[in-house]
Amino acid sequence: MSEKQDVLMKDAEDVSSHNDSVDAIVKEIEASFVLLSKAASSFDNRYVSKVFRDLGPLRRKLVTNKSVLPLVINRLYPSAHGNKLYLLKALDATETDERMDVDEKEEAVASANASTPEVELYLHLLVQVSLLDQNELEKVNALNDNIIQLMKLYNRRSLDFIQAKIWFFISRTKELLNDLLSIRSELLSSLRTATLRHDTETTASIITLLLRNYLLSHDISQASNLVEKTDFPENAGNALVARYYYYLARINAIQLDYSSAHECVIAAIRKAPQTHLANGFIQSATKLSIIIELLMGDIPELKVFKKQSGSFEAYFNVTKAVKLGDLNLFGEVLNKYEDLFKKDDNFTLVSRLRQNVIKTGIRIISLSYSKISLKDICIKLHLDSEESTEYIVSKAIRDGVIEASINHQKGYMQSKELLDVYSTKLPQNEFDQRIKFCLSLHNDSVKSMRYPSDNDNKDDASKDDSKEDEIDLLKAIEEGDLDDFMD
Amino acid sequence: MSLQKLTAELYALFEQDKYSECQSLLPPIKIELIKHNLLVPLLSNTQTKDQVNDLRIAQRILEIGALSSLLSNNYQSFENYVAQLRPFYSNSKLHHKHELDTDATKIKSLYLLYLLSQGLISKFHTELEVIYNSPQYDVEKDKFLQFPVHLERNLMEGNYIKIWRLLKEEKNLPCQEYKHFISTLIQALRFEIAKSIEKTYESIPVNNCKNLLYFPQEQSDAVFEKTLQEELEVENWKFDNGVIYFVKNEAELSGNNSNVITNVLNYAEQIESIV
Repeated sequence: MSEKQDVLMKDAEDVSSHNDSVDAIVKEIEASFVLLSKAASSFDNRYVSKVFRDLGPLRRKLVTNKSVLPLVINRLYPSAHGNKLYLLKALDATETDERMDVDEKEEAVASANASTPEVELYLHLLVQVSLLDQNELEKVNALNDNIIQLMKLYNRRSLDFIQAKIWFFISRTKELLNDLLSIRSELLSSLRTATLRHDTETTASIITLLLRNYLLSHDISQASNLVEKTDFPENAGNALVARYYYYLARINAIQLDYSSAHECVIAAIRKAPQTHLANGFIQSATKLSIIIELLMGDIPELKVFKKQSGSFEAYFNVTKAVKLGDLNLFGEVLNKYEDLFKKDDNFTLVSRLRQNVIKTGIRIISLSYSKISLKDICIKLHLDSEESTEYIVSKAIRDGVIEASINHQKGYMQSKELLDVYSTKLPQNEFDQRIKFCLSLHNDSVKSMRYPSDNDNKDDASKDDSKEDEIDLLKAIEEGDLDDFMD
Repeated sequence: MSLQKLTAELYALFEQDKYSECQSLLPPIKIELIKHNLLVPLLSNTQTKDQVNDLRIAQRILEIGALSSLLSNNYQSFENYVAQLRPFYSNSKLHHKHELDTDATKIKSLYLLYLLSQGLISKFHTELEVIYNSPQYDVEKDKFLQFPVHLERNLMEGNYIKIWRLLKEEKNLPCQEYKHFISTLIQALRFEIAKSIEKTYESIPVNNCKNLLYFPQEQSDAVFEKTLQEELEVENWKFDNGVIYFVKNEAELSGNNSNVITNVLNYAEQIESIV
């Protein structure tokens, strides 16, 4: 809401300096064109990352200045170019011959730019994004078909990042149109192409998009098949990896493999960018991790609920019910927050928690009494009958929830005395887990360190010039590709 | 033979409970369906009303296929038919209304029950996830769907007595085909109970054990012991003078120290590479 107001206020200011800002944005876009051509000629994808770092702010500026894009398109393409026509049509603009004003030198630059596919695709991306921001879904959808055709024409590694991004927005459009099925075949075929070309960025992006698509239509078996059959590229961007792990966690959780689900969701939270843009992602990942922890029989720590903004109230209450082992409270919570859980797609997972509520109830009783009759357990836990209590307690013993035995003839449960933990292997296992984690963290950080490539040093002539560039680029990489997390 | 004739014949045979004849009739019908492009609902063949009606008939044929293979114990082909029916059920032209107690939910619930009786819990949940999230189904109200769902819930809780009651009384069963799974489910149930008993008690009188496992009391102890060993894979149950003793498996407790050694060696290796 506040953002919208901001935009409105900006809009008002803009009226006075409208022409100036249009010019400024056009300049900005053309500056990024220069960077893109540089990326194409030097085969250095870091320039592309730099362009994408500015995409977020640029996107917001484009919403308020709708006249910018037609202007850029008119300047970039020679008149009556095929792509020019449909781009302008999508933007509801007419062809004007801006190129008359441009002096000869600039014209040369412009036509050189138009011939590089990087610039062309980036421009398509800009049009796509700005239409999407204006909620012109039908138009984007029509444009997307053109873009897909265009992307098929090229096979250049410098396009990888741009293609990955474009696929993201294509898929997003379909999602907003509520048409999940029609895009799948295109995604799958381009996944094949990208994999064959070792195009890691696009591969990673499309895999996550497909998973999202399957999960949105609750096609878990399809999703898990995809995960089985594809290798997620190891050196993909962190944002994509985080997303991939989040989807993996969801699939594993639904397939009852809680411990791997837990590992994945933790990895997702850790890999997610630590800025406010990724808040939404971290929130839903945290919700999932709370549920998975509960399903594994653990109780999440209190600080998990307090750390972030956002509504964890429902999840807090569920945790409370499980922690107390109170079936009635659990039922109430489930009823009260049913819609919310359904909205988060966690309802089925939450409703599986019922058995955990009973188990913690039994555990609490077993800890507090060394000997208790089954009848008392039945009353305390609001179970149906003494017979069913016996079965339930015995199942809990079998699942390792409690250490106890039942005396059938006399009808009581007797807890086993707590052994000295340090005489068992438990501490050893616990340490083993932690040591392994630390070691893998160390290995990962060693692997992800970046070293300057040899080419940069040899290039003495442009050294001064490139130094500044280099710093900028490193900054861009550090901040990562955050734009994806804005939705 | 034309498709109409074959279909009419299939309906008649199915009405008369001649399931194996149904099975032999189905392959030629399916070939006819393929010829008429009716085996899979697509965007292209769901345009007109007639096409939709034809597809409804195709769906009914496949449903009969699923039910008859189930009733003649051919689980593999039951699974195949369910897979073929899936695109029909998810097609919005064919199934757009709210569905309660329909053939679609019946087939789905039978499939769920099948997964449950085979112990394929993770597939069961995958399937359930789809059903829960399809707006046209209402799991809690549908008499077919709620059965396997309640069954699974009680199984996970360990509330075996409820399951026993559900399975025992035939009037609880929403339809005939369910009977088919009863014996496998009871077998699975006993297996679960036996595993729990083994861990829970140090000893238990044979009579009580029969009760817990829902075996008839008048069954002789020897027969009981034999069925236990044959069906439930119990190994360390000692029968002695009307009482069963459970021998704990000591091998698990002693553990193996080689595990510790490999771990430590692994740490050493890692640390060496760091230094």
